[in-house]
Amino acid sequence: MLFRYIRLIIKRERINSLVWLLGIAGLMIGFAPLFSNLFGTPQEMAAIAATMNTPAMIAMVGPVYGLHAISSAMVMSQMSLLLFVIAIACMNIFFVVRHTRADEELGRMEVLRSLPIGRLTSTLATLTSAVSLNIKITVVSAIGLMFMPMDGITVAGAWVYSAALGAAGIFFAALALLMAQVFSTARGATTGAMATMSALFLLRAVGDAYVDGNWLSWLSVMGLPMQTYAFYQNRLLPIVVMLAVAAVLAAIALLLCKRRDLGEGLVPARKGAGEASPLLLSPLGFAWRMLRGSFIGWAIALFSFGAMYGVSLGMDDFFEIDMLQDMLATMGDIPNMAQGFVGMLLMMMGLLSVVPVMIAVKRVWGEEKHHRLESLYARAVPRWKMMAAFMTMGVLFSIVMPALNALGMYLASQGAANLSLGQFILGGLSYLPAIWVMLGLCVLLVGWAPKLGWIAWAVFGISFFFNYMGRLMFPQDVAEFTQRFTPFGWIPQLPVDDFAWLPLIVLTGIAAALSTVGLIGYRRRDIKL
Amino acid sequence: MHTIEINGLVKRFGKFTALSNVNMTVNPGEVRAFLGPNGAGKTTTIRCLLGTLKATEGNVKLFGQDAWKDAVELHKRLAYVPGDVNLWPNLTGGEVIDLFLSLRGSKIDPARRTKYLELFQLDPAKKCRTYSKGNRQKVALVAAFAANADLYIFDEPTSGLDPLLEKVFQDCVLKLKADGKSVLLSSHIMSEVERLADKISIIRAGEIVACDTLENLIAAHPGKSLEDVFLKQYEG
Repeated sequence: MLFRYIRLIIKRERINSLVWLLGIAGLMIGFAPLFSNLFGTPQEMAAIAATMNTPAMIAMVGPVYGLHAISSAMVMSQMSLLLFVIAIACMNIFFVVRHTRADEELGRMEVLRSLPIGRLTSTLATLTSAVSLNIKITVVSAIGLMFMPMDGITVAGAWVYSAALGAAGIFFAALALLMAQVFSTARGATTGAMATMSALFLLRAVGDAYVDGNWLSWLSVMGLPMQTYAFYQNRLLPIVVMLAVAAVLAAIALLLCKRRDLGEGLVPARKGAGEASPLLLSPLGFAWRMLRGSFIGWAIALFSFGAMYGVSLGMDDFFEIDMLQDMLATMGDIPNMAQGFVGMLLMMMGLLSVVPVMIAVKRVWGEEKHHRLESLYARAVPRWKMMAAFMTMGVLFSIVMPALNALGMYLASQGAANLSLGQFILGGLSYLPAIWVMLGLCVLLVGWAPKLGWIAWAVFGISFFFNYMGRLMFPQDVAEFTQRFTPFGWIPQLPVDDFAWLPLIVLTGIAAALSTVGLIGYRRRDIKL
Repeated sequence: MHTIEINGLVKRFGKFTALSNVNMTVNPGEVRAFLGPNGAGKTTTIRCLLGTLKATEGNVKLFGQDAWKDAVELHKRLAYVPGDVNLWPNLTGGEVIDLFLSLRGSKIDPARRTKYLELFQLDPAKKCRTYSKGNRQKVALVAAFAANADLYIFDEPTSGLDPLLEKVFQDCVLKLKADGKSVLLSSHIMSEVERLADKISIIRAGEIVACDTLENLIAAHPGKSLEDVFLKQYEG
């Protein structure tokens, strides 16, 4: 039966798993050549690594090791492993919760449990499938990296680097499995696992950057993968520790699962209000209620990002990194490094702020897709009002997110860039027209062809690529040319460029036109039943 | 040996008492209807029978074995249709039926599967995300009827079906009865219960308040129909 259940999971996951496998293992391999090109001679690399050896950088990307014998492979591992650990953690948390608590909450587990399968079957099958997916990612990535023509690559290094990632993934699968027993909703389980991940990340950041010795990093599974010192010492102990902790967590989860009622958790579902607050009783209030959680989450995230980068502004040696200088060079004549960096960060964060805005507008389609708007439109609610409510939320997000980000950066930089709070905020908000164009695009798509909603994400992906990766990879003139294909490429980059009204006005006009046409479409088309 | 035997079942969730005193004995070959308003404890009782909830007090036995401890063995002999059927959006109805049948551990009987697919007029090649509530219910019903079980448990199985299919369902249950199978049917549809049930158990606020044949119930509670009897239980 266990085998049959695993087959069910594989069937349900056939596309998801492939995307994650190709996404994570593919990027692990695909990133590698980037690092061998970016950095030059061993001497240059040692200099770069030395400048990476600052608390802010270490807190962000992980510890630096083996400075005297640095290689491209080591720089790659030091700069990107933590990023992949976060990705694989998310993958495992989503995967495990989807097949355990989510199925249970939605009532799918009930029928399955009426069949002759044991209480632990679904839990065990989920764990087995998750472990096997992590192993697949490890193997594909290790084999891919093994044959990478790049200095510092060794067979042992490739396997340790990949296995450190896989083991971290298995740990998070076990953690999510435990959370799925503790919380009685899928949302609770996901939030619990994500919160634990954030706490572990923080523990690692402090342990790596500010504590003598690395004992604190050894206490955090977010820190352990980097403690393998891949491509240098290739330590196996961190991998063993991660797997052992995972085994303990999984055992506790199985024990809890065996003893509890279906649908119950250790933490009972919270009760809500018995009556609606007056705030909820309008389309705008409804839209706010739907988006409240993501508003708070993104606000915290963007403020922290701002603060994290703000800290690094005060560190002079931070700007000696070649890659940074390459990027800053694309911005033309810059008065000082820190200000140039602020301009670049504000652009990146402007791009990032688009995500919550798009999520806000697309939520109106999400509600429709799940047949929940149907019962609202059956009452006296004009459609355009509902759409306008979610658009208003989008506009609110678009202003608050970059502003909070700029505020965080300002507060943490402690005056290092010689810029006033106003300059930070103005710089952040100058991306508004571009964000609004993306908002308008979402309205247009939801209004006329909601099933083509992926186009908005594709445009976002292209914008991100041309404005961020493009600067690194293309010659300056090409980068400047390709940027113009995206709304973000037209925004003057404050505080380096001069402020210019014209592109801002034109972009805002385009955004308004897209939104209007979208609203018209939304009034005319059929609502999905 | 009784098919179902529940003695003094109590189920508490924290401080909340969902079932205070449930007793029920169903014999082989019997169709037992299970009536009660929403929230009275029908589904909780059924979940205790299925071993997805653990009884706080009392005994719950199926075929003489403990419903919680021997759940896996027992489930080989029963088929269950929940009231609210949720399925995986990216699997087809046919795939889900095969999955349910194969997880029973016995071989799928293709002729039987086809027969019930046709009876319930279900297109098995459609993805579950496109099914309406009634069609999702049909998937669960076909999977249950296509299984060769000794006990069939239905929890408000026809709430999304039209009168024609409701009739099909009733005929299928009568066929089970003719084959000597036991059935536990929780339902709000009085005509369905009147037509199918040998005996009727009525639950109120977590307690069984009446259990008898239709004739006896109507005789004991002056009224013309089962509906009168049912309403009397709660209004008087």
